[in-house]
Parts: sequence; structure tokens; C-alpha cells
Amino acid sequence: MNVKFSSAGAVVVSMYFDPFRLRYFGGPAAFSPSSGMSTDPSEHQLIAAAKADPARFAPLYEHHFADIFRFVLRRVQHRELTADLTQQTFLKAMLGLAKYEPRGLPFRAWLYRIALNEVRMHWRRRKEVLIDIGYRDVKGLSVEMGLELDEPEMQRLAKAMGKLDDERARLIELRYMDGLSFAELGQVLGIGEDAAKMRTHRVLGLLRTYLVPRK
Amino acid sequence: MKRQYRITPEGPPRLTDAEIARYRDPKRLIYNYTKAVQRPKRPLYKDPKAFIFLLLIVLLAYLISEGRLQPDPTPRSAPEQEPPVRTGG
Repeated sequence: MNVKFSSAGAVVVSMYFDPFRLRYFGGPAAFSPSSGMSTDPSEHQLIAAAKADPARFAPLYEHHFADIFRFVLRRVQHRELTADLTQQTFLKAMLGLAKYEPRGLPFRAWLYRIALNEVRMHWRRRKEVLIDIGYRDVKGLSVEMGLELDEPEMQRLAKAMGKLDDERARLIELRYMDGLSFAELGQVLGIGEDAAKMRTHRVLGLLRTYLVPRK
Repeated sequence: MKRQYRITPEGPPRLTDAEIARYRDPKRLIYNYTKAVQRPKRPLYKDPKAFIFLLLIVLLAYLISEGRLQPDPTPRSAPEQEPPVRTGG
């Protein structure tokens, strides 16, 4: 997909001016940037074709591989392991494709959900994980929290994020590091879009209380 | 499980699309899928020849067990004594 998200999680509007997209998908009406939903007709056709013949899953695989790979790599931070988990994600997607219903949400979110389960399965025996991230990954979050992108502020943020429980940390990662829309976030977590918004708002509030006061 | 975060200016190195493409392997995916959905070997009871063979063995075993366990329907009785021969008198 060419739909991009800024680090703050907002859809980059320039996608409307992509001439190929405009011609191919019939203009801006095909997208709903506020919700992040996609009614990409070509993707629906690809899914239908793959449902009928699993050998035709390849275009979907090619299309989403890089997204899913980066999504997994951001969490496990090991290339070979990421390749295995990504492969496993697509295998599970292929096996479960018959049960997949689009419901107006992007296929990508469904893949993220499977990938997240794979990562969790991999982590299940670990008591602690260290997630290495760059300033660019937390840019949106730091803006939301009113923090500067400098070392002391980022250390405060890292400590505060480390205090979040697994579920809340996952929500923050999906929203601000992976750049998912609330609709996608809802699909990944198995909740509604409004519930995703509300939970994010609450977690941000909690994160503010966890921030160590400035020296 | 607890998460710890390390936020650095550069962060971990980002992979380019070309680097990621090296890990893409659709053939392996299709192979794994085929292996996962492949129907198991035809069970013995669904193979006509094997089924008849199996049935014969079961039948034979049944008949042998019946022949051994069933008591003889004509129990052995004491040999009949000949009636005493009456001699005149």
C-alpha cells in the first residue's frame, strides 16, 4: 500500500495527488484518511483470488511483506528471526484467509494482528524485553506529550514507557511507532475504533503521570 | 512480561526495501502452505484392499476365539451301562 502515516499517526494527505492512484482507484472517494480505512478494490480482488486459489496469494505477500517485516523487526530486532516470524505470519494468513472478512478495514491491519500474535508467542517465555527505538519513532508521541527531542527528555519518556503494562505499551507502539490509525488499531486489538481512541487517550494520560519530573 | 525502551537519536539501522526483499521467499511460503494443508495419507479403513484384509484378520480372530472359548455343546456323559441280562428263572 502506498498510504503513509506521519510519525504522529496522521495520514499523509499527499497520497491523493498520486496520479497513479487517482487513475486506478477512482479518486479520493476511495480513501477515508480520517479513519485510516481503505476500500481498495484491487486488494479486494486479490483477496478473492487468493481465497479461490492459494497459489494466487503471492501478490498479497509481495505487497505487504516489507510492512510486516518492519513491524516485526521493530519488536524482535533480529533479522533472521524476523524473517521466520514474518514467514509464519503469512503462512497463518494463508491458512486463515477463508475466514477473513474485509469489513471495510485494510488487510494490512489483519496481518498486523497475526504478526503481533507471532511476536507474543515468541516472547511468551521472556520476562523482559528491550526495545531499541530512534527519535524518529517517538516523534509523534513526544509531540503529543509535549516533550523535546533531546536526550534528557527521551530518557524520561523511555522510563515512563517502561512502566506501562504489556497491553498499554502495545497500544502506544501500534499507534505512535507503527503509525496505525484508530480503526486499524481497533482491528488489531479486537476493539472498536472509538474504544481504541478512548484507550489511547487514557494511556497517554497515564504516561504523563509516569513521567519523572524535570530536574 | 516487562518492556524496557532505549531511545537513541539514530535508533536501530533501518533496512531498505532491497535489503528486506532478500528475505522474501514466496516459493517457501507456498511450499509450507501445501505441506500444512496436504491431506494425510489415506487411512487403512478407506483402502478397499486393506479393508478386506483387515476384515479377514478380524473374522479369523473371531472364529478362532469362538472355537476355543465355546464349550462343547454335547457334554460327555458316563457310558451307558447295558441292562443286566436276565437269565431265566
